[in-house]
Amino acid sequence: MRKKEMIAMLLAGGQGSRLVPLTSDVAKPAVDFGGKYKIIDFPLSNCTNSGIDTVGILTQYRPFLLNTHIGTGSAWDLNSMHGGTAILPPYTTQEGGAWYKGTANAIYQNIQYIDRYDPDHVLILSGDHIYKMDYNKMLREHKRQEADVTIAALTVTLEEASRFGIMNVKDENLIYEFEEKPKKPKSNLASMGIYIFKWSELKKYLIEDEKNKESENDFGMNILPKMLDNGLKMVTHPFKGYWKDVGTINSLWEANMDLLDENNDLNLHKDGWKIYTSGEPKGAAYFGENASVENSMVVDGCEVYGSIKNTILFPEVIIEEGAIIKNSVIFPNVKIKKGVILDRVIVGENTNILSGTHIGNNTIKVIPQNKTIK
Amino acid sequence: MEKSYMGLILATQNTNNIMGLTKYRPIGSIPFAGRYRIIDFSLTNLTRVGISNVGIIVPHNHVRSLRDHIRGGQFWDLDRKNGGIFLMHPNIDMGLRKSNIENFRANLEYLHKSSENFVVLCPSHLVANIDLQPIIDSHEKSEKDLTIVYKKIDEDIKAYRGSSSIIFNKNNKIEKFGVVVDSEKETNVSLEIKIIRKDLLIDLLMSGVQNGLIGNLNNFIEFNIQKISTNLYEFTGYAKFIDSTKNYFKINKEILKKEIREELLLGNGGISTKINDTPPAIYKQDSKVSNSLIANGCIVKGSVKDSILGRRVVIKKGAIIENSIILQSCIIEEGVEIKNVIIDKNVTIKRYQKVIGSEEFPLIIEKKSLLDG
Repeated sequence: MRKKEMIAMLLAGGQGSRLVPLTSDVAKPAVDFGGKYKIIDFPLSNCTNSGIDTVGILTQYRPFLLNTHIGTGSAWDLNSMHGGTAILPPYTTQEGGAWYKGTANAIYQNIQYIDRYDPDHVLILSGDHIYKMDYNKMLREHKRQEADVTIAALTVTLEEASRFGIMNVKDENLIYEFEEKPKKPKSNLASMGIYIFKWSELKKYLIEDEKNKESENDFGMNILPKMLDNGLKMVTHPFKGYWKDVGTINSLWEANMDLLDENNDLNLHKDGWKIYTSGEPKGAAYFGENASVENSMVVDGCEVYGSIKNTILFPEVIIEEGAIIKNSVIFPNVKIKKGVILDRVIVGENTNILSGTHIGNNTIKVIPQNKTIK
Repeated sequence: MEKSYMGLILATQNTNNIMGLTKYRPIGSIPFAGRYRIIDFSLTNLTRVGISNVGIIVPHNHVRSLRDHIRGGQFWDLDRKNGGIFLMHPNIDMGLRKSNIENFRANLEYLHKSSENFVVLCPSHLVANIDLQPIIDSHEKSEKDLTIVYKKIDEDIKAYRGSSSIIFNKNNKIEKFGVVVDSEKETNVSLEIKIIRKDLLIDLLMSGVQNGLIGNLNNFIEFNIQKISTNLYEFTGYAKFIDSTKNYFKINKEILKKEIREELLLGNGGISTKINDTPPAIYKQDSKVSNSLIANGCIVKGSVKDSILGRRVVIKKGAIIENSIILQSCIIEEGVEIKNVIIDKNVTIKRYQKVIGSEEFPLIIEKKSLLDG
């Protein structure tokens, strides 16, 4: 086994309870996004683009689709001889088995996996966010600072701050206080849930934390405050650019709509930081004689005979003639029949929407997957 | 003995009538329908029936484009430990003679070594989505050494001009092979798909080389046809060769028809091709698209009608594209008018230019090298 400077551990067990019904069959990281991707494609692509070739993916909630999607990891060039992806579900031992109790416990249960690579540093990621980020740059900063912990940090508004882990810093981005979801935030520097730890330190704290029966075994609640108390060197890595937590129906819809803005910071069309995904290739999209398409995203495998505006279509969507779709996100393999009118709707995979359906008002409505809507 | 099959794709077709697009590539790797390369059809037809050992006989030059497309064969599940994909290059000592028998001779060892006892031969320039299983079944039932796949043509014979035709005798057996000419009312075109016993193929090659025969492998099997026990299989679906610029233009345009598109691109579980990880196409405020195929990565602000756009084509504001085929990464600037044109990769058409060809003689704009200023 080759020694690695850093490996990544991707927490992908999230249930995504605020994304129901889109997450009734799949884990949150496997939710569709941006015309052809799944949320987890972003951290996985960031890994491969950052030169990280070993990624442990921790799954728990409804993992089947996620496992199929990841496969051998080849879609992200992560089918490496020396490393690559590993799906890490909870398992049993001679002492019995246990679900992952919290984010820190999930890593604790996989100490053996990490130790195989004898890494100097471990990158902790979550599969819940849409962003492009160079983790290697963060590692360089972590090493330059000789930090024990580096936390990627984003400036948010003070109103939003109480939803995040908030960090208070001194010069040189040195963190002196960490508050998980504070009622009265003292700063607006939010943790993005992306951490680089010195593995020797993290391992110690994980073992320690596991012994504490009171602990919630959570990075933000337990591990980070404890490390700070004990005087470990903890710094922030300020991030500028597009970052969105797509944990709610509204934010998922907004993040999709952001892609239609020509000046969006995520810019999937910009060269140099490709987002990869898995799946079979499809033929080019076809537009019929009377199709109308305005400010929209259409992917290979779609057929558009009707009219779409401010809308994102996923593969194998068919919009029949006379259908009018506005401000909507249509997941893969959805068939929309003649004369359907949709406005501000997210339609789940494999759903058929039959003629005569009119849906749309000011709130975002979700039509669940695998249904026939009359 | 259990019959087992390997595939062999001949990618050494004559490129005289399709010069512009084959200046830098063999016919097999010409982009098609916005997304595919022509060889994808044969690769998919072969691998879909479980063939996991495929050799490709490549021409002596411009192989890079084909190699770049095929990679390790992973897109067709040909990244196997047993079998997989083999590119057979002409032996350098053979000089630049365009004989693929010579090529074979040099690569006979691959054939010998392969554990399969039958070979399915396919061309690299055939556009056809064919389920080979019934053909294999017919071959096995016939207990013959060779099965030849053909298609009966009674309209648009011009489209098959120059292809090899099968001439039957009174007993509906093959008498000989001919060449399709325009004046015929009806003909039987060989689709250049053949199933042949491997040891027989090797024998034919050995004795052929020994007797100084040079030519296309297909012609060579055809030359010996009277000595081989032969089964015939008629294919009735869509099958056309891309062997001229005119055919390339026409066949691309035929894909715009729903029935043909569905048969060719969606039938039998679809056609596999290299994955490029291109983001979805974007259509802006003033875009207008009708009866067109548009691939991922395009940014469309102008108007596109009866056309096919490859990946990452940019159509700027006010540009009008009609009845044209634009290959990947071209940029069509503001106010440009394009009609009946084939534009190869990486070309930029500057603002307010008019580029007009005719339906019968589409204009070809050649690929731009990134090294040209």
